[in-house]
Amino acid sequence: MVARLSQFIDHVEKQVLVWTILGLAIIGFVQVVSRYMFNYSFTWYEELSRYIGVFVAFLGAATGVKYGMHFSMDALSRKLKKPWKNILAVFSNVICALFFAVVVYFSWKVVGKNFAYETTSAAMGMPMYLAYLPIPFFSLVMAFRHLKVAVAEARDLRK
Amino acid sequence: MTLTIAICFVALLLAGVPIAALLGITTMAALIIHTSTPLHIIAQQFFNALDKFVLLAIPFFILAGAIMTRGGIARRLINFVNALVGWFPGGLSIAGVVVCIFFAAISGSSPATVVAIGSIMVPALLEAGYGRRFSFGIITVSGSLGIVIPPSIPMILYCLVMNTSVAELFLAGILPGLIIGFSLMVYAYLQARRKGWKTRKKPSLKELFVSAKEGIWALLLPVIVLGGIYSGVFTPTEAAAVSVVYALFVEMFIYREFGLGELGGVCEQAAILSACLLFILSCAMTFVWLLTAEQIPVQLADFIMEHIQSPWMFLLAINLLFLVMGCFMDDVSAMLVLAPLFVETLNRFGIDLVHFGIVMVLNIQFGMLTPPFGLNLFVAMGITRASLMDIAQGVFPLLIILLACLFLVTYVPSISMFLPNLLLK
Repeated sequence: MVARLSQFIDHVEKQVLVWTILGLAIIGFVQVVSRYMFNYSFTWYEELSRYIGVFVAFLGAATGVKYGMHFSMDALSRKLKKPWKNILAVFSNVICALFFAVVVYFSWKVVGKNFAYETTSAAMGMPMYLAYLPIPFFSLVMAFRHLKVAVAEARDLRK
Repeated sequence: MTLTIAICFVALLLAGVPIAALLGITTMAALIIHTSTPLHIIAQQFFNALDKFVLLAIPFFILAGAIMTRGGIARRLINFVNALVGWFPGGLSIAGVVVCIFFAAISGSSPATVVAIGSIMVPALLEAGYGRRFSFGIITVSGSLGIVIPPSIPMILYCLVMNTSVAELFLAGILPGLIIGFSLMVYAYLQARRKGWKTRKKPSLKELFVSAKEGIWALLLPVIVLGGIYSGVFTPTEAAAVSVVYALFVEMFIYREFGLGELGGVCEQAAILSACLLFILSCAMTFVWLLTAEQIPVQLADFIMEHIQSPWMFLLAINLLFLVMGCFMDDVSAMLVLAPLFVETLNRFGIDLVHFGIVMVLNIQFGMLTPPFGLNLFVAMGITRASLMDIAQGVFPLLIILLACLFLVTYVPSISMFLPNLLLK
């Protein structure tokens, strides 16, 4: 059940990422055509795509943690032997998890502030807290995933 | 402050912390230890860094590249170029270089160019009797032109951290890219003459026409993208969106290479990769904000001006620095962190930021072809199933050509500045 749920989340995560980017590209194309053919351009497109850009970056970053796709320098850790290699991996993943946890706390405060002051965006009148929301949410996911890697490495150490 | 940043940076780098998180953690540590700035600023900077319209060009160009790599655009482009120049001595390898130049003009990434062209061209070269190492080398190196000839993803990243114009930098990349491409063709021609590799017979006019008709869709794309940007029809970001839609249209409705159902799978990896790049960028911008707020570029400029008198020496030092840095981290990340540090120094020496951008891009290109972070080498290993040693030995003689081009472009700014000055100023 849990395995199937996590498989489902995997799938949804990737599909949402791909289709968000493709969708934005298609709207962008339509807006270029509409501007040149009908002299009509969408005032909301530029703003919408900036906010969705934030969403895409954080969603994809969270997905990237799961698949280990973030660039890092592994020249040292690759040379190390078993206990030290795991210890280093636990160390770096715990630090990352802590960092993202702190980011969650402070970005949540920024979201709260925007919510309290009811700030809205210039072109769409969209509440600004929505634009900030992906930052705490996906930072939480990243903190959790780094912790998961750390736990797996620590378990491997005891074997 | 500077010491805290340096220690934190190096320690986390060695521990294998991902570059993005590393930059965020270093910023946070410096803020906590040395200032009383509330940490909200980090969340705010993450947002501000991503809140830019140009930035979306990155996922768009990466996705367009992925779609064209999987589909039939590359194959038809190769057929056409082959018919065009394949009958010269060493023709097939020259065609390989020319195709890479064309593909570089429709995709912004050099690994994508190596995959798209290499997976067809390398087997074809081997079958035609070209040397193994030569074939690996020429395609891997030509593929790296993907980031020199516009559109180019590292160029967009550079423009974001340095606040320069994407359109200008794109234009500046054309001539250096063509010079490198031409040098590679000369090398291929001389090698083929020396080793007596056989040539194909000249195709009939009819064959040429048929392949041109098939390949026309691929040839039109650079015209639309670059023509659109420079005639002011659309912005670089919109150009990227147009190239995604164009690639989808051509692959799905004209070549019918894949259907709607397969699209998710085709773009998956590219989408995650592009988002990870955006995330690094966001963290790097936060880091750059810290450096600027603490006036570190100014201090660095004072220090550099004390020891280095001429811009000539400075550029040499930068090139050496990047060649060394390339051994420790991937060059794109190195550029994101280091280039903003030098802004003040560049201004004092009177070096144009656009010219410097091209120097950076050529350094990245070099880094992509040398271990341990040479992405192109690994991609070439993947598609040819050859060993890293074989590929690296094939690439090595060509690195000397690249190095010569790097120094030429570094010390003759007019090569990169000619087109931007002609068309935009």
